[in-house]
Amino acid sequence: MGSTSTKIKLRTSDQKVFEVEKAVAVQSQTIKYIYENGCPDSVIHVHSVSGDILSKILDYCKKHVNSAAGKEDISPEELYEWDANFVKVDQNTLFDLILAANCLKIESLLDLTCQTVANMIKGKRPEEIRTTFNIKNDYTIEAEEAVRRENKWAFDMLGGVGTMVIEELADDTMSKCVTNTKSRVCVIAANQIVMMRSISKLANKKSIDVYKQPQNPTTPRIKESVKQRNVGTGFIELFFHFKCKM
Amino acid sequence: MEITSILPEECLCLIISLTSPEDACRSAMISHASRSVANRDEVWERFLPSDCRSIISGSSSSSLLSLGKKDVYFHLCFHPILIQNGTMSFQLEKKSGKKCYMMGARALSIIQGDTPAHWIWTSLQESRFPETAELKQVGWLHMRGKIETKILSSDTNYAVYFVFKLRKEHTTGFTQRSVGFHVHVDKIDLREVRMVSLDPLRDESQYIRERGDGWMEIEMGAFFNNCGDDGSVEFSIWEAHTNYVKQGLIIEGIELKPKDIAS
Repeated sequence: MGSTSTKIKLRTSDQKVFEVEKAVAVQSQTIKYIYENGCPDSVIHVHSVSGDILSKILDYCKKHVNSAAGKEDISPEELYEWDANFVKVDQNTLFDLILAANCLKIESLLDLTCQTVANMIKGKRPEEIRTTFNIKNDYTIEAEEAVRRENKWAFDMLGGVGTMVIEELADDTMSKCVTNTKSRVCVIAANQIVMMRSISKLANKKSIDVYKQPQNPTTPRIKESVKQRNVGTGFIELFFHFKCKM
Repeated sequence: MEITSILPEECLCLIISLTSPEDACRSAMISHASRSVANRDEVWERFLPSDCRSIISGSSSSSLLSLGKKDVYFHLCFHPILIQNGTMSFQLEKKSGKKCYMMGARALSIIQGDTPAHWIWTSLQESRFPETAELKQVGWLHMRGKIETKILSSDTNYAVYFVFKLRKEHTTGFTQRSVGFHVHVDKIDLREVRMVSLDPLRDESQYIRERGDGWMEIEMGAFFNNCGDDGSVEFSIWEAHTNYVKQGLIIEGIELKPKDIAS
């Protein structure tokens, strides 16, 4: 009755009803489709979304609609920050938002929430990711090693100055390492004796290939073999911090 | 209940595809479920360039199209494929999936290149191309090439490299003498000129690098490719002191690849 904007009614899984401006509601492609292909006055059921989550989602949609329409004076940087704060929620809420954005087909929200999870994965080692998301490692040692070999280039050392990751490998992988993978372990030119002692302290009876990085990074890396000792199967990652002789 | 049981596979694929090729490989190690997601075509499709399919179909390795997308990605990272009738090669930079192109000697304009007294064309085992140009003797060394920025990856810092080697014997004219390298992108007003010796003294050798595939490379210049609408990148190499005869240069080509961040 004299209202300048159309409203759409939405009912959630927990029977809460929201009355929303059409422009905001149709940010969801799902709602848009139902509205345009159904009876415009009836209530749209969003079965898989709870009231709490829908409320948050509607906040998001409203913010973005208003900013795009110029109704709210907000710069792109401010909107970006608003989005960043929007996703500062606990994991369960984040997953609920992803599920809802997926089901309601709100692309920008799905990208935002998925990117948030992606950022929790980027640059992390598998064990760290398992802890973050409470995922159980269902690999046997052999299976884990097989998958690691399958994806070996992603496990090359990425440490900065003074940090080094050495992988201890089973016999046959070691020989493959030496002959054809140029991108394997890289070691900073440090006091080798100190390092070797550290290795022998923590890892008895394991053999390792050590590569010496010369001062001029453009000359090829020199391989220096360490005393060969018996190698066991399986692997561990060792982290060392030591002074780098430049 | 954890993430791989809560979220549907399409969402998990989207999440992994928003990380990086490296992270996708590492996430295969998390659990059986994560490995299945991490190896999905939907993930690796996003890491491959959007015009990958058409590039591969126009190449001499079109059978790659039958492989899964992850296998295609890694194949292209470690094995350059030949395009444009074997005169150019294409591959991907493994961490970012950005495109790398090398123009073989046949794709360049080499002055007097068709004169057998000056240049001979040979097949070398260590070359990726069917033909490389070998310098017999020339007073005026001059070669040019160009490439369109639109075929390169957008939003990327590219560097241009001259890929070559010098014959062990009968090589003259390069020792301690500089060769001129020129990179020019007209639309963004970029003009880089460098004078580098192909056979320098030990302490001047910081501009030349061993590539690890049997060839040497010199960085000729660098530019930022925005959206690929900056027209063409032109490059040329010259040494015009005709008094000094030059012999023994073998050209593999000119490569454009993302500029190293780390090394």
